[in-house]
Amino acid sequence: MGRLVKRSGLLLFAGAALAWGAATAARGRCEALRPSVADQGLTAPPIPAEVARPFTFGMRSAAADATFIEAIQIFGARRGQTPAEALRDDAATAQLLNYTTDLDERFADGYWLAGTALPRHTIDNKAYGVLAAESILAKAVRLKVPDWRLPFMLGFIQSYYLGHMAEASANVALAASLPSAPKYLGLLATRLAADAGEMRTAEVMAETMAQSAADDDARADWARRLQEIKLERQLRRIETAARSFKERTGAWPQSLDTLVRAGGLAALPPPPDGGAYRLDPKTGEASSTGSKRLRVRGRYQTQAGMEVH
Amino acid sequence: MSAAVLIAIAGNTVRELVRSKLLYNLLLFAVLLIAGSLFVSQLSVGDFDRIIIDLGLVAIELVSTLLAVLIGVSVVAGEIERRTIFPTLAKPISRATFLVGRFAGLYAILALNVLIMLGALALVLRLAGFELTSTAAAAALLIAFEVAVLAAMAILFASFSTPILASAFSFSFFLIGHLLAHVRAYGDRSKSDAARALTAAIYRALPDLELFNLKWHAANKLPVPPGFVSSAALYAALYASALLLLAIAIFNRRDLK
Repeated sequence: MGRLVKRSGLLLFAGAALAWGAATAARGRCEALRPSVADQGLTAPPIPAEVARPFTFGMRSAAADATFIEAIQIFGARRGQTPAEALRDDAATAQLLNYTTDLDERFADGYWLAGTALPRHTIDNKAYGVLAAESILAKAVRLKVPDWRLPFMLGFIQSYYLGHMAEASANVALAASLPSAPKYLGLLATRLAADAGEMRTAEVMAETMAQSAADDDARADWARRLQEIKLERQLRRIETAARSFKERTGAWPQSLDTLVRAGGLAALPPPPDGGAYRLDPKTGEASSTGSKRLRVRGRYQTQAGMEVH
Repeated sequence: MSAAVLIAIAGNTVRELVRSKLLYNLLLFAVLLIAGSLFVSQLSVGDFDRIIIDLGLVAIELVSTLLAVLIGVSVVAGEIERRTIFPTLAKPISRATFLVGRFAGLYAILALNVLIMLGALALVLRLAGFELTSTAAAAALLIAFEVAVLAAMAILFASFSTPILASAFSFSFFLIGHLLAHVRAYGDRSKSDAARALTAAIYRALPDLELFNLKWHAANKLPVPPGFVSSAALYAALYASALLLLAIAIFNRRDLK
C-alpha cells in the first residue's frame, strides 16, 4: 500500500513536470504570436466616458489613472514603428487621453501629456496628432482647469503648427493670468497678439500687466513692451501706406519722405525707442534703427510647408 | 439597555473579530495593493503621488466595504445560522442591546482597519517622497463614515435574512448608493411627473454614498469645502442610527426558532 502511494505520488509529480514543460512550450508560441500593445486592447472602452463615469462607483479618478497609464504604455512603445503602426497608436493614444480627461476633467497631467505626446513630426515634413492635441487642450481651457501649462501648450500648438496667432495670444494671456505662471508668458502673449495684427489687444494687455506688475523689474519689462507695441503700430501704418503707394504707382516708395510727400502718410510721431524710421525700397518693409520689430522669431522657418493632421 | 452589557457585547465582538482570518486576509490584500501602487506609479510619466493616493484610497474603500458587509452580516446572521446566538439571548439581554453591541464592536474594528490602511498609505507616500495631503486624510475619514452606514445596512439585512441574501442586498446598496445622484439627475430630466416623484423618493430614502466620496478631490489636490466633513459625519451617524433602529424593530419581532 505504502509503495502504491509512493508510486502514485511520483506519477503526480511527473505529470506536473510534464504539464509544466508543455505549458512552457505553448507559452513560447503565444509570445511569438502575441499582438502588439495597441492590438491587445489598450484602447478606450467602447462605452462613452459620460456613461462609464457613474459605473466607476465613486472611483473615477482611479479609472482615469488606468486609461492614462495605458496611453503612456502605447506612447512608450512608439519607437521603431512602421508609419501605419505609428498612425494606429497615435489614434489609440489620443482616444485614451480624451477618455482620461472625460472621466476626470481636472486631470491636468492627462491634458499635458496630450499636448506633449500627441504632436509628432515625420521626415516628410508632416505633423500628426496636432488637431487631436488641440482639441483635448481646448477642453481643459473650456473647463477652466487651473494649470497655466495647459492654455500655454494650447497657445504654442495654435501658433507654431496652425498659425492661429490671435487665438494663441488669447490662450497664452490666459496662461499668464493663472497661478504660478512664469512672468515671461504675458510678454509672449503680447508678442503673439502683435504678430496676429491685434495691436489694440496687445496694447491693452501690456497696459493691464504693467499696472498689475508686482515689482519694478516687471514694471520696466512691461513699459518696454508697451513701447515696442507702439513702435510696431507705427511701423504697420508705414507699411500699409507703402502698399497703397505701390498699388497706385506700381513701385515701392524709395524713402519715407517720398511716401509722406505723395500724401500717403500723415506725419508720424517720433519712434518711441528713440531711433529713426527706415523703409526698405525693395520690399516696402518698415523698421526702426532703435530696436528690433515685435515678431515671433523663427515661426516662418519652422511652420512653413508643414502639413498638419 | 445597560451600558455595561453593551460594552461587554461590543468587547466580545471585537475579541471574536480579532481572531477572524477573513479580516487579516483582506487587510493584507489592502496593504499589498497600497504597497503595489508604488510600482504602478512608476508606469506613469508624472503625477506619481496622484496614482498612489488613488490606488490607496480605492484599496481602503474596497476592503472596508467587503469587511463591513461580510463581517457585518456574519456577526448577526452567522450567529443565528450557527445558533450561537441562543446562549447570549437566554441571558437577560435585550435584542436591541445585542444588535447595538454587535454594531459597536464591528465598527471599532472597521475604524481601526481604516486607520491601519491610511497609515500604510502615508508610509508608501513617504517612501515615494510625498506627504499625505489633508484631502487624502479627509477622504479616508469619509470612507470610515461610509463604512458605518454599510455596516448598519448589513446588520439590518442580517436581522431578517440569510447570510448570503443579506450580503447580496448590502452590496447592492453599496452600488446603488454610489449611483443615486445620477438616478436623481436622470429623474430631473424626465418629462414624466411620476418618474420625477419616484426618483426623488428613491433619492431621499436611500443613502447617497457619494456624499462620503472625496477620492476625486484628493487625486486632484483640491481643498475640502469647510464644514463638509462634519456634515458628512452627522449624516452618516443619523443614517446608521435609522438603519439600526429599523434593524432592532425587525429583529425584536423575529421568531428565531
